Amino acid sequence: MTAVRVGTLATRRVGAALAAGRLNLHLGPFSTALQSHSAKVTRYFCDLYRDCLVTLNEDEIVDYTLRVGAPNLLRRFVRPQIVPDPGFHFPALPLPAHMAPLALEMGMNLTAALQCFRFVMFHAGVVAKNDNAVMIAAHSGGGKSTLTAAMMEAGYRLLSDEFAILHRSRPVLQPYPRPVSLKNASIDVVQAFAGNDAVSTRLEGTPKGTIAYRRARRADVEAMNQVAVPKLLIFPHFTDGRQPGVTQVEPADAAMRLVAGSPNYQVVGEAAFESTMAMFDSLACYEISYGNTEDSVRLVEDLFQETGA
Amino acid sequence: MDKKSNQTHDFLERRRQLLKMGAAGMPMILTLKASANQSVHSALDCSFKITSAVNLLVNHEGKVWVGDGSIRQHSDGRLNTADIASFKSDADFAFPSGSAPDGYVPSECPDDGCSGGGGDGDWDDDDWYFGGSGKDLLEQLEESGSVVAFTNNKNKNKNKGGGSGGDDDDDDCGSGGSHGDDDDDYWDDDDGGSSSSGSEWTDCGYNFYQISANTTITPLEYMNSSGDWQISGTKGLYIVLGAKYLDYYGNDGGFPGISCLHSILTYLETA
Amino acid sequence: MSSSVEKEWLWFADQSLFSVREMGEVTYIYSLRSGNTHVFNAVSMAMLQYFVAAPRGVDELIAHFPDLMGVTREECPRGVIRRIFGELDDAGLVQPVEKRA
Repeated sequence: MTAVRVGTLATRRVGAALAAGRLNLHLGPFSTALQSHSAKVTRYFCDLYRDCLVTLNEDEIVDYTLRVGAPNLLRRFVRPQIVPDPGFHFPALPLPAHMAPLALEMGMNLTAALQCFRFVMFHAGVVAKNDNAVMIAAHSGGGKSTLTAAMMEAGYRLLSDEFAILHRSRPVLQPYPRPVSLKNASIDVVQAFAGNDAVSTRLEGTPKGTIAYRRARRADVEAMNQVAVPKLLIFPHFTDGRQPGVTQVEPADAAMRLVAGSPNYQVVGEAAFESTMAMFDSLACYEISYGNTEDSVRLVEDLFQETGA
Repeated sequence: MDKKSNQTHDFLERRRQLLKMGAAGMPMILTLKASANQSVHSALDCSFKITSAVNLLVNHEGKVWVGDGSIRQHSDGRLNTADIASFKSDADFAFPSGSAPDGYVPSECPDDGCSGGGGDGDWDDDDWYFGGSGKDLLEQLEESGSVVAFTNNKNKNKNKGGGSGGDDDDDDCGSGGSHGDDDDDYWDDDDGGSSSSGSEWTDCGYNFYQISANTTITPLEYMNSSGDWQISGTKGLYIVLGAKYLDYYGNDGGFPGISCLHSILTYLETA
Repeated sequence: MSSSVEKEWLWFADQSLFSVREMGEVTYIYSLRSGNTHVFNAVSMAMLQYFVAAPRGVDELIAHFPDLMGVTREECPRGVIRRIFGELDDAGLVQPVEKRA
């Protein structure tokens, strides 16, 4: 079957395909078979993935499978819970049913992070302009996703909010433009400049507080096979009210920090080493500190221009 | 020529500096530890085994020393101050003030010297209870006033000469004199207590926790179904310290079990 | 590792078993044998190169390493040399190759 955009399909049809386990999402380098009986998953998927391509075919060969559903039959009805099942033993925390979108996104992260060995994966947001990429790596709460979303508004295309996906044979990054995960105060910030339509409804009381997702734009999805060359690696540090500042980071230190957040560097082995080292040959690395989003965007843009990209 | 000479001089100085760091126990070869194998095979359900006994000493400021040394304990629960001093100076890891959550922190010794006998409560691992706040582990830690910088003595040269660590923080009751240690080793935080007699006992200022060899720690057991951390007992303290180590140092440096914790915190981060 | 064993064996670092990339002041080394990536500083790298050049004993290393570093013996104590060698060995980057005659 020819791939079609989710937004061209009736919600009812998407729901039926999801329930039957014959909805295959084709995004970036991965195809993922999704299955879920949850109406909340269906509604969320139709909204946040509306520009993405899917096929409705249960016989298709896919990279990953992901079921998002109740941990057992009783939990579909008694205090309903939902959990991502990526097809291998993974005792994820069951979440209340209304957090279905979170379970879907967690599951999508897991399937790629723990099963992909064709690429080297790093935990970082990635945006690009003219196919030159900025990687944004941060600890929890460091502002990675907020900055990624802000850079989208500054004219950069989204490659990924969660994973810098590095080719094994050459130092280029592969897009995987899924929704950007926003937490707590950053939701208002992103909603203010991206508009209400770009952001999902909020999920309150999750393990990470309040969560919402910023949709990847049509243009981001259409460029999902267009690789970008990493030029800049940013470690952002947001502290409310802080004056903007920039510190250069030695590539050797930056490499250590980036590799520490890779789910598959060790497994990919020598190819991961060679490709990662080649990437750092032409990568400028900085820590930036800032107290508001405008400052962070300006700092990144200045550094990006300094790279000559 | 001058430039070349300066470069040679700088290079030589750098090597001298590195050798000094080597003499102070700094590893000269680091091994990158991606979350890799652990996360692929176990991720959130990972557990890790502490293969040899690990002991944790907490002072009234929430500083924590982690090592394999022992501290003699009197039948009434008091701790031997000489053993405390040597435990601190031989510790593999030293975490700064505020590292231990409040429930693990002992009361400060009164200014007027050492209290005599009597205990300050029991040592039951399961009495402590934290969490249920709906916040993640690091947020809970941050609220406990943690400071992330710490010292890693894991690779220090245990054969170095010299005596016990110096002590000038005056928080060790009953110290029978102290031997200053001016070797300026990088792990020396200048507050290690020292007692010459080895016969003094204290019931304040320190709590001592022990994890026996071959103890398995499963971090997920300390998280409830809502995803809130529920830190309790000695193993809970160990998890807290591991998370602090991770926050500062990343998935490297040899703190046992760190890869497991890393995969969990990465999982929550990417959720 | 006892000192008697150190004296009996020569040690060699086979550079066909690792991949080397310099990055600023440090050198990244990927070991094909272990699959691990190691980060070396100028001192540990000099020691690795010492064993790449030819099979050598630890006693020779102790005798020559201060000169190789351009520092005095006091600045480069025997214990430190042994410990750095131990790190090389622990990382699986040097192998015993033959017994000294």
